[in-house]
Amino acid sequence: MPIEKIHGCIGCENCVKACPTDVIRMDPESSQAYIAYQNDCQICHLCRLSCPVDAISLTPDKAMLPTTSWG
Amino acid sequence: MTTEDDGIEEGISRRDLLKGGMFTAAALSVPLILNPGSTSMSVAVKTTHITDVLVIGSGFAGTFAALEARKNGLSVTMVDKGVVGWSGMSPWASDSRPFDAEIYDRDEWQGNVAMNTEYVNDPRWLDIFMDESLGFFHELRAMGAHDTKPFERGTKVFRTELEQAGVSFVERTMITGLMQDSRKRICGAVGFTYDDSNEESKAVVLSASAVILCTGAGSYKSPGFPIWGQTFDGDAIAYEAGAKIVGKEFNDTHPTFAFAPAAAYEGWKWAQEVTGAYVMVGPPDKLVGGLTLDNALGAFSDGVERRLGMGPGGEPPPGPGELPPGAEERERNKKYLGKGYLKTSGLHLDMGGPPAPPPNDGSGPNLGHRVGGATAGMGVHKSEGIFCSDYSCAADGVEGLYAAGDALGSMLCGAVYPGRGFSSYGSAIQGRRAARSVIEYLKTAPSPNVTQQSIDALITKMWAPRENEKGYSPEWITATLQNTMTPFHILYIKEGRRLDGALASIEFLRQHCVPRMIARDGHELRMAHEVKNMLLNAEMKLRSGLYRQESRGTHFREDFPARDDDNWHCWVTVEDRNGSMAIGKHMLPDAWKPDPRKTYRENYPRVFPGENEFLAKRGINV
Repeated sequence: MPIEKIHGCIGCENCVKACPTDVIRMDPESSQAYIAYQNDCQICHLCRLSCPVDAISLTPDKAMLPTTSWG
Repeated sequence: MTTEDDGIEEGISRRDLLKGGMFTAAALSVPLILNPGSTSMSVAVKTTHITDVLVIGSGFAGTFAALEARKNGLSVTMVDKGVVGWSGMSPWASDSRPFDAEIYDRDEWQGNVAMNTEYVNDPRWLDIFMDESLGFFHELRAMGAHDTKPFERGTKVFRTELEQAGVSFVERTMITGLMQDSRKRICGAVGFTYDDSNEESKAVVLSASAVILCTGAGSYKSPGFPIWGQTFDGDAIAYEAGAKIVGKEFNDTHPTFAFAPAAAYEGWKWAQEVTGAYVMVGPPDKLVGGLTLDNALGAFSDGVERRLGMGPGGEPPPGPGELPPGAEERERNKKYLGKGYLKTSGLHLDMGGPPAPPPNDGSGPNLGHRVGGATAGMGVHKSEGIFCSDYSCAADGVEGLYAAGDALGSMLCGAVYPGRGFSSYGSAIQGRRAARSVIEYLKTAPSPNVTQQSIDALITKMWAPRENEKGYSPEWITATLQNTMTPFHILYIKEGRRLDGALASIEFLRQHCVPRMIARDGHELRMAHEVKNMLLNAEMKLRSGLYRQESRGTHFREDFPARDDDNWHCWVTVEDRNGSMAIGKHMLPDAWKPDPRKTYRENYPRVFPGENEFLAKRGINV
């Protein structure tokens, strides 16, 4: 797993702005950040470093996705 | 600057699909998949901005380009794929190596860099770096950049400076093409907003009298290094507009970890956890401290050592009495301490040599030892990118287009990154220099004049993956690209037939799959354009690597395992010619060649596998 969860979001949007691969988006209904594209997380930690309430957890593990033959 | 919305918002919301990510598995397993988000984009809102100078990218290069242009009264719009202050590689930039004439010897720097980068660096750019880097050190200090952690520098310092200077921001917008008038002069750019969680993607039209590309470098989004937001976008749009691209045969070779190859952060967090300025002490070394091919050569000759305690490439750590790499350099550099600008308080001084591996004290996850290849696809900082032959930062052959930083193939460094400390300050220097060239250009340049038809053509091309009803997912194309290019026997340990094989596959992906890409939402549309740019870069790297029939620095050819100054003391360029990639040689001045009074091995101390035998067969005594 790369980015695991966002727990205790206060809606500041820092993580959305910091993510270089558009993994995190704001939910317009709850006004909280959520993990929209987890597969594209590259574990750079910028979201975690930018979070003022330490709401984001990551692990260092991520395998390359398997590639299939036909597209 | 004016802004206008001239479209209407329409279309179904895909928010629920986004949240679940439910099509990910299907995207990887089904042939020619259907596009669940296919929609006509002709109704998309179009936003138009008009500015004197368009700066694309907001790292060190973009920041100093924009500030300089504003200081001279020009209107500046800065567009970024991310958000200004968090953008690109700049949140990671730590090392610097300002040149101080009071304590350093200019000739020693020139000689050491030339040897380390194997004589294809540009000494004039190094002179410019040595002239200006200390000034930037003091400017950054005055701005407060030395009082932040690296990832805070952009948000706490650069963004504030840019806002106060009156730079306009257009953010979370990916640029996909440059606008050109009937004479091919650059008149702005088009792109799209990819964040469609609240509203549909919009087309963004940025009309400008000149464009400065500060788009950084790129990689194949390889897991293992914080550069993935960068996908050679500047190279790609410049190439399509007619620019030459240089230096693609050389490679960056950052390490990561054997058991967690995506955990490169663990090797870099030392920088993010400390407030202050990191300064490399001493001149760049002749040999050590750079990003050499050693890791790849280690994997090539012996395989990867998976036992704990082994070093990069599989070699054991130094035994009793043996010096670790860089020890002599660190000892030698002690003489500079307390002198010149190194007297400044609060600096974090790095005495040289390769960065030490993180301690394995058992407190964190077991990542295994360090292995190479974390940045597959990335070139040498400052040695790949848009070609400019006259130090103005203007793209050769394309009027109105400028580049700075890692987007500019300045060849400040050569075939190897010569020890740390050139990247961020080099970018800042080039950003300001590009802006000064633009200021001169705009004294006589005509106003932008682009036909609506050509803007519409760029926009139609941009939306195509959203409109295609079936085709290939960008995720699958990216994985296929990574599997084709990343292995060490393609990208680092090169050989003609293997390069030809990889090239055939990459060409197929570009010709057959790219026109049929599908994107179900704004995020995937961004990925589609990114992989298109990464594939173009892959073809450039393979063709440049095939063309250079010698070995030099991080370019190693098993079938030509020696340096050949008579034929290859040059830079290799690629450019578009009627839809095909044309390749060219830019021979370098004889004065830049290694000293003819010295032996081959004195000039080239690093030995490639098979090199001595190859030269002996040709009667060359090393």
